[in-house]
Amino acid sequence: MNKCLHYASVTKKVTLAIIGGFLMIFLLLHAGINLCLLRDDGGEWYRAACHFMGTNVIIKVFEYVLFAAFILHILLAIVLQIQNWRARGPVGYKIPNKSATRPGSKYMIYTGILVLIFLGIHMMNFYFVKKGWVEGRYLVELSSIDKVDPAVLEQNQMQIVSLFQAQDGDASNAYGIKSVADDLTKDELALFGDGFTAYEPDFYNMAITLFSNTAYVLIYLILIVALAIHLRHAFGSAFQTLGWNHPKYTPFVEGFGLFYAALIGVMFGIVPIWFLLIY
Amino acid sequence: MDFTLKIWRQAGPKVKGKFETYPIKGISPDCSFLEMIDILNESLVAKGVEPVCFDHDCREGICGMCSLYINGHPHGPDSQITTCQLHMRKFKDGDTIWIEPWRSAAFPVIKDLVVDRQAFDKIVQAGGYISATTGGVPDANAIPVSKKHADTAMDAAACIGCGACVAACKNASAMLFVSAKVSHFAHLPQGKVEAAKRVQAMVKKMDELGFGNCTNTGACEAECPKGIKISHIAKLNREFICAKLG
Repeated sequence: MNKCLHYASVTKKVTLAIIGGFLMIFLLLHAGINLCLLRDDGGEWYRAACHFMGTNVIIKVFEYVLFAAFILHILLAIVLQIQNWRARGPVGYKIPNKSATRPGSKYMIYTGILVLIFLGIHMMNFYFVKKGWVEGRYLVELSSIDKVDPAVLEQNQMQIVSLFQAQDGDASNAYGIKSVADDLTKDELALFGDGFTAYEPDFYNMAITLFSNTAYVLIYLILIVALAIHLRHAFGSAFQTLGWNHPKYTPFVEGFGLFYAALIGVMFGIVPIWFLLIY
Repeated sequence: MDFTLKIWRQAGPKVKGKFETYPIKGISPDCSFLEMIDILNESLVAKGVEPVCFDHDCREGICGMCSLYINGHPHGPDSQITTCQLHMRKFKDGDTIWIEPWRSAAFPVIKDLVVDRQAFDKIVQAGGYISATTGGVPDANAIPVSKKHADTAMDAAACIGCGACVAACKNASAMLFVSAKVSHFAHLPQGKVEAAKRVQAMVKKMDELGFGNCTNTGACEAECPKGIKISHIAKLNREFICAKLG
């Protein structure tokens, strides 16, 4: 941290901008996966996307790159902000500054803090479940049943079969058996035996449960608006910091930044609204 | 026109300051802002009160000496003018006008509304020049400069170093000032020779002096009395990145 303080202001800003660009691409990918929740397929596409993101080797490596990017982005932003607060000097202005500024630019640290809170809630609800640090809901595919200890399978045969029995509206085969046992609690998962690891977090049912909670959806939407405001300035600002300012192209970049921020806001925001009001 | 002035009074750099209220009456709408303070000071001197200290010199908007943060705007509410070019007709009769000094850790208050802006001189001393041997004046057209670059360099050279950019910026960043100097030289063949060294030295000095970091709010551009654009900051960033990458 101390060494970080000694890098030139422009170096810190350029690093922040490059990482910000990487995070903006990630957000687009994440929002795209979220949209799979809207498809009326019992979570098939969404689960396939989650399975890919959770098991692909390249994605797993990028998971660490992503965490490093988030941490560095946050640390750099904090260092820059503390320096900025100190730069005003011992006495501030009596009359707040009324200069015209770019939309959202004066509130980046505050919208950033809201996004960080959002990230914390999101990690608790989803990522920590994947890591096994927080209890959630789980799913087991029928094809994984041969990985269950035969002795355990024989002992809990009836209960395990009941977990795979289709309810009304579930997609199933001719015997009324589903290809996936989903929305399993930790106790239900225990029926597969202690050594059974071929299960995955059931993000689909966890998301639906969270999005059926009005208070959660309202908080989610407020934080998504904060994210959109953060991105509104971030997009154009990253270009400016990287020195990409051109009289002909900068207005387009600014316009595209507004479009991108609105797009991310709508892509993330429409999912909880749909589940709360329509689903 | 009658006004109520709320002016920051501070006897010295180490003394705690406070706002004092001064009613002022019968001011002409065509009076400049600094003339209005001159009139106030004459009345204060007549009453045996210490007059208000403020920076001024040319009073025609070219020297960069006047300052003042007026009602939330450096150089007052009008655009692309310095405080000496601001006239009282820009205010309404009966207005309360708050007058503060530039606020920045790098611009400490010396007295009342006067701040020490030597920090800008130190940044220029770090590299805001070209090293040239003296001698006979060369022919003006000896080194060709394209119209585009000449115009951009001239726009940047319009910076008078008043410090309004620092005063307006929520981060008290000096990037607009530094970028104007960097961009001015970097667009000209004479300045290109030392461009990489210059930008690094000037940014280093700017950071050392305690100015904040640019967050691209654009407040500096909105308040600059000479209309310096933040595209020069992008130019500085380009120059800095290129210098670092070798």
